[in-house]
Amino acid sequence: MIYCHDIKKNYSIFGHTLHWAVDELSIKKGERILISGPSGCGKTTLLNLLAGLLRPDEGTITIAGERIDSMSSHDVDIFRGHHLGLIFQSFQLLSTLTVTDNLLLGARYGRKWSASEAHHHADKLLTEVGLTKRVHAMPKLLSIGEQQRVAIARAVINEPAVILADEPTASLDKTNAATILDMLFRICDTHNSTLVMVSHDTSIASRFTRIIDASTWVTHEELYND
Amino acid sequence: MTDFKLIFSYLRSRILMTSLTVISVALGLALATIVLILSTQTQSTLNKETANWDIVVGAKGSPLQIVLNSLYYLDSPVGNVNISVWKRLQSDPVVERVIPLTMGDNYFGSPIVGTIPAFFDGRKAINNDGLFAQGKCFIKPFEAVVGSEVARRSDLQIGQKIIGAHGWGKSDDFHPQFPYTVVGVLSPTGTNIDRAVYVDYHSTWIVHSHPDADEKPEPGHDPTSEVTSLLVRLNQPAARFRLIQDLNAHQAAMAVVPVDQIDKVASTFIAPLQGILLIVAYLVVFVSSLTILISLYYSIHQRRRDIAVIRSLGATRVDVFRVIALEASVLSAFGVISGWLLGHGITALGSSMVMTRFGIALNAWHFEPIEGVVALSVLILGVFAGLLPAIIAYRLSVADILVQE
Repeated sequence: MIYCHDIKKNYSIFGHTLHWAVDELSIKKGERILISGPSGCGKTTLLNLLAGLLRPDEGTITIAGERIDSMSSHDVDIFRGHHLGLIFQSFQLLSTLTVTDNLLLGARYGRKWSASEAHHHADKLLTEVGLTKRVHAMPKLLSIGEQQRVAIARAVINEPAVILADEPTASLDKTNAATILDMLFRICDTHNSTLVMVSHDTSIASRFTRIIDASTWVTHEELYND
Repeated sequence: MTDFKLIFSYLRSRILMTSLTVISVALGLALATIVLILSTQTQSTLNKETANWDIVVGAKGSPLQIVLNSLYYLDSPVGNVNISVWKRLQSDPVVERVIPLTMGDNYFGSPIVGTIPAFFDGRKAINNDGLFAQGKCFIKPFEAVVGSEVARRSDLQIGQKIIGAHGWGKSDDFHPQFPYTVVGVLSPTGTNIDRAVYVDYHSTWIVHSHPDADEKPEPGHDPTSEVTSLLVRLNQPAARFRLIQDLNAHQAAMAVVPVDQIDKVASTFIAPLQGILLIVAYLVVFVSSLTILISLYYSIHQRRRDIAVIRSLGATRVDVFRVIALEASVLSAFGVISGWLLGHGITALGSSMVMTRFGIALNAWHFEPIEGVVALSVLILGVFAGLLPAIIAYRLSVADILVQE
């Protein structure tokens, strides 16, 4: 499902240039992958590369049989809408849209469903995440747990092959975090989606099929020579 | 979820800025619309009346005053012309018809014009109905035909008596001993005719030569030997200059070509004023377009995160560009529609005053093609104003924003 080969990415942070590299990464369809490791080791960088939001300086990234590293920006965007679902730590809901409209926005750029199908999927997902009474609510009126449930529903509305989640439970208390994880796994099971999740929380490791320790990735830094 | 739903959600979320932007565009376009309506319809009304007559003959004095007084009732009479001039013109073979006008009285500010029934020949109502909405033309002294605006304002009906007052403008110097009977009410014509009262010219002679008349004629002055002016239509327009030269050289009168005078007014007064007002209007519209640019520019900075999220959902750069450009177009379109309605609405509200004061009927909801050109220009300017913010949105780095936030 996902195959990364010899990817390298250089980026600047706080006056340093970081050279980040992953030799090989292979993830099968339906796997639940937890990526953990200390801050700055490149976990989010990997997710952004997999999402096509960043391009590797070298190497190849193949998802669902397609090389996203060599796609045009336009094609990567379309691919992302079709095949990937992104979940963020800070939910990233659009505050000007209702709960339902946030989901429909995801469906719009997924370009998979007609308007009526999108409504049907949105209704179904909001029922699945227990938000049937909040469909017309604006995000700011939702609790943090509810906001993350909406974000998950939006990420999976296009039934993506791969879900990329960047610390989705970091902003939640333990109870909410457990509920959200249950929900995420259940939805992944329903749609047979591959899950790649970044988290510092190793206590949830047992729920994943594999854990990747990001600290083993080659990362070194050098000072700018101004 | 459509682009428009997304756009409206953003416009709603900053309703104050949206409203101010729309209002500023609307004010600019409304001003331009009013200027265009006033100038085109004023010109058209003025031309309509000048087209009826080849020559206007009045007392020696200001040629423009003769035209403004005789054709539009916008200025006081220059003086009087001896009826021998009338007789002379009647006998001239190049003259198709000559209409005498006698003025000097008013009915609550509306001029009372003494003339002959032929004055109404060939005139049409605004909606091509019969010229007489009610009744008929006067056939004898002290019968009156009232213009539509006078009838409306004073609620005049057939058979009603009206009393004139001495003077050009509104005055209290009434002639109660000489009441007129309304025998006809004219349909609206959209010209100065709507705001005058027409009577047989003998009536005005009688009123002003009666021993009880307030204004005593000067010794040797016989009101029944004079008219205020003469409207002349020729059957040989080429003979116009010969006739004018003849009249100006040998008669105690002045003959003028009305269309020349009106063209002079148009070129020396109306056109420059129109130009200045249009420049002001275009400046307002230009500033409004800058308002759209500034509003969207700051909005893009506030919406960087949202744009990045939309991109992360699968929107392409072109999708984002289109949404921002459409937002500018929607703002501009709202401004254009509101401005057009505001401009025409203000014209509709002021049209009665313009009719009363200047005898110009404004068809407030008539669409002039030039308005379409101006509205389209404003729309295009608004869309252009949205391009810079749209380009900024197009070039945002999604990963950087999502990591930062």
